[in-house]
Amino acid sequence: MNKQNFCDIFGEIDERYIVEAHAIHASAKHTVQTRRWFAAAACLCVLTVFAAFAVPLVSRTLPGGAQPHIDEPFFSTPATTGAPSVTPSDAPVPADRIAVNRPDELVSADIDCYTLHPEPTPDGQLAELDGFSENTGIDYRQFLSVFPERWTQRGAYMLFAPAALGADGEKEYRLHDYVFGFDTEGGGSITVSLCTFEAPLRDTYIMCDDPEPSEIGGATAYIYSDGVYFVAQFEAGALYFDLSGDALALDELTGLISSLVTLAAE
Amino acid sequence: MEDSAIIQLYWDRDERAVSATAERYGGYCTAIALNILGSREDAEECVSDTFLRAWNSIPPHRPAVLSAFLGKITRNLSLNRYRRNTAAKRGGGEITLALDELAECVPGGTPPDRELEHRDLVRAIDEFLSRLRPVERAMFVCRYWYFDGIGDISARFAKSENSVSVSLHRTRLKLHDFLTKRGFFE
Repeated sequence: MNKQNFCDIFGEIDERYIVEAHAIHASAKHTVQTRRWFAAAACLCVLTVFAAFAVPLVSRTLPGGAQPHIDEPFFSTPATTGAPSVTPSDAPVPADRIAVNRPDELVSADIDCYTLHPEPTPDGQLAELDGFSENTGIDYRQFLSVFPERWTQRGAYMLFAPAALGADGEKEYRLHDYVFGFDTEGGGSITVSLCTFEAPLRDTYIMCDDPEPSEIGGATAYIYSDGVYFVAQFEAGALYFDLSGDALALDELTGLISSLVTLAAE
Repeated sequence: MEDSAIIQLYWDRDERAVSATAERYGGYCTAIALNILGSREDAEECVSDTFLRAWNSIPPHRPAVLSAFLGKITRNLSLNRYRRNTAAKRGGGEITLALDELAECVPGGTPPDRELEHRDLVRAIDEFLSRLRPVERAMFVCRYWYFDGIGDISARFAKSENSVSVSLHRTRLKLHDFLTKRGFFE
């Protein structure tokens, strides 16, 4: 095979990546021109919505619409107790090394997706997301027990993205992410996304040259923060996680990552 | 005009489909062709041919993503013209450098001559891309699908040219290893 054959074959890659790269073109240009990190408005192209948005998808971005208070202390809410309470076993967090990277730039992109929110149960509770346990290998209740009881679950939904073109040329969507939103007792919020085959989708890309990895609970994680908002990305077991939010103590975040790593590895 | 409306014009055999496409995607297609051909005259001819090809293929085709559909046609037509130009020893845009770089990803051996193997290779590349971090993947696609210059990518991603080159180099090596481990072209 020569480079020209390979070039032709590369031309047939998934259209999703072609669109993604083009979307970053336009958005990045805008961001560089404005030189303002947080003016990068998150914009999703939600094609189809089957139910009301209990959790706005835009909440997955870093940051939201408001200007951050960059001068405030990093991770503004201190842990309520010494040890992170998010670990069910209260086991010490094996945080070998924590590195928090400051993003150089944030680049927003339109992504082609739709979300599906489950109907609430008759008693008003959030229903289990379809196929969660089967697809992730994690018991749904056990997964939710990882999060502190003092947090309020805001919602949960499934996000679908184009996978391929069908035989009739129509775009076929497949389940990409399970997404969970929580409000913390300190007034912050956290969104947890997980995917079984690649990193969960984001509508804001983090530009950071050579980010330093953290080693948490035996997994390698990348943590980014501007001082208030944070993003943490890691792979554990056969799952890919993306956590984002604000106003969370660093030890709470690392404790949560550690718990999720432990759960995914079981 | 929205993509769905433009596609409907094609299906209705309404010639306004072409002008609407040119208005919305003329710049996009021209940029791809110009990257490959390095000549505005050649690029504009390829873009005109793209619109003609779209007119002839919609219907029966109904593109899921119109931009990618047009971009693929432009890329293919431009590559074909680039090969003709190269044989005639003229022209050539950013692609000359990009192709040399891409050679690093290509394991030796014969090209896949069966449709099934061809599709397997595309699937393997898709899988490889899915494992990359989004920014890394987007830069790789910008360089080897769109044939953007290193300087352009550097500006768009707010990175130094050296940083972009290093990232692309690493990704090429990773792709080479990935495909070799998958047993392609042994």
